[in-house]
Amino acid sequence: MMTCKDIADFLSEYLDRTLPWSQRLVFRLHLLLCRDCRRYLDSYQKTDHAICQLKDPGTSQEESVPEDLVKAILAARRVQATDSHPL
Amino acid sequence: MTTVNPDDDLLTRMRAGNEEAFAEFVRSHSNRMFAVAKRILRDDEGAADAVQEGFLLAFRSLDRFGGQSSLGTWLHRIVVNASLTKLRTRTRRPEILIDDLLPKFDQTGHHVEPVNRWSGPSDEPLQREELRVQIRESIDRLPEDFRVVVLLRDIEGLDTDQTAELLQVSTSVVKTRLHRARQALRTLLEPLFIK
Ligand SMILES: [Zn+2]
Repeated sequence: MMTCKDIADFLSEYLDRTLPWSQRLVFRLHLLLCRDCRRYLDSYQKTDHAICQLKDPGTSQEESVPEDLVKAILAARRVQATDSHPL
Repeated sequence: MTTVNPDDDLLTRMRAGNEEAFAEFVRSHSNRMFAVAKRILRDDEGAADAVQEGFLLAFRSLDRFGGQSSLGTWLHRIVVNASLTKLRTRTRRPEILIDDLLPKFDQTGHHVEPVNRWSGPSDEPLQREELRVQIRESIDRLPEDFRVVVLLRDIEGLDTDQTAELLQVSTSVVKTRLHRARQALRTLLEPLFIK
């Protein structure tokens, strides 16, 4: 028998479908009978979706790098190149 | 028909030491790389250092770039690594304990408190934006080990193996930390989802 704690512990395996089928069955049976765990699973998935919404780099505001940093990187590269290939 | 990879031309020119090619490369990637480093390090100065170190390391390693990924993906990995190295040398800020944010169970393994029903995410743009802000802030509140795993896996889009390699831990550690981090974020975000 699985407890609510087991359900919470194995939630990501369940969602990733990496649980052995026998455990998956017991897992589903528990969900069928336990409202708390159904709600927990639902809220866990909503959290996951919410986090993944931050992923899309196109919609997140990118900070623009100050021109100084660009110049500093390019200057440091020249120094680095001279150091490794002395004339 | 062969497709010309725009990276190829840039790479050839950089390998030949063409100054303009380097400038082009830095300008096209620096904003995104700065955002990546800042998410990990959470301050402008540290992020700028990590970005610079990342670019310089990339330039030194151009000959070893094998073309298995795009130049941008390759650079992204280098900058993430430079940021993580910097993060490790820092003194840790006081952290909340992850256990305080995990669900509580009684001795028989049942939820101590009844679990609240969550509403769906709002379709309203302002509230969605508010949610994004809150999620970012909540991720920032996680203990460092957990915060970094969420960033790399869920935000930067690395897979479990890549995350494990960069953090120098096993894949099972990555999976456990990611799961705990999501549970903790669930606790932190709950007030926004219950009516
Ligand atoms: Zn249960």
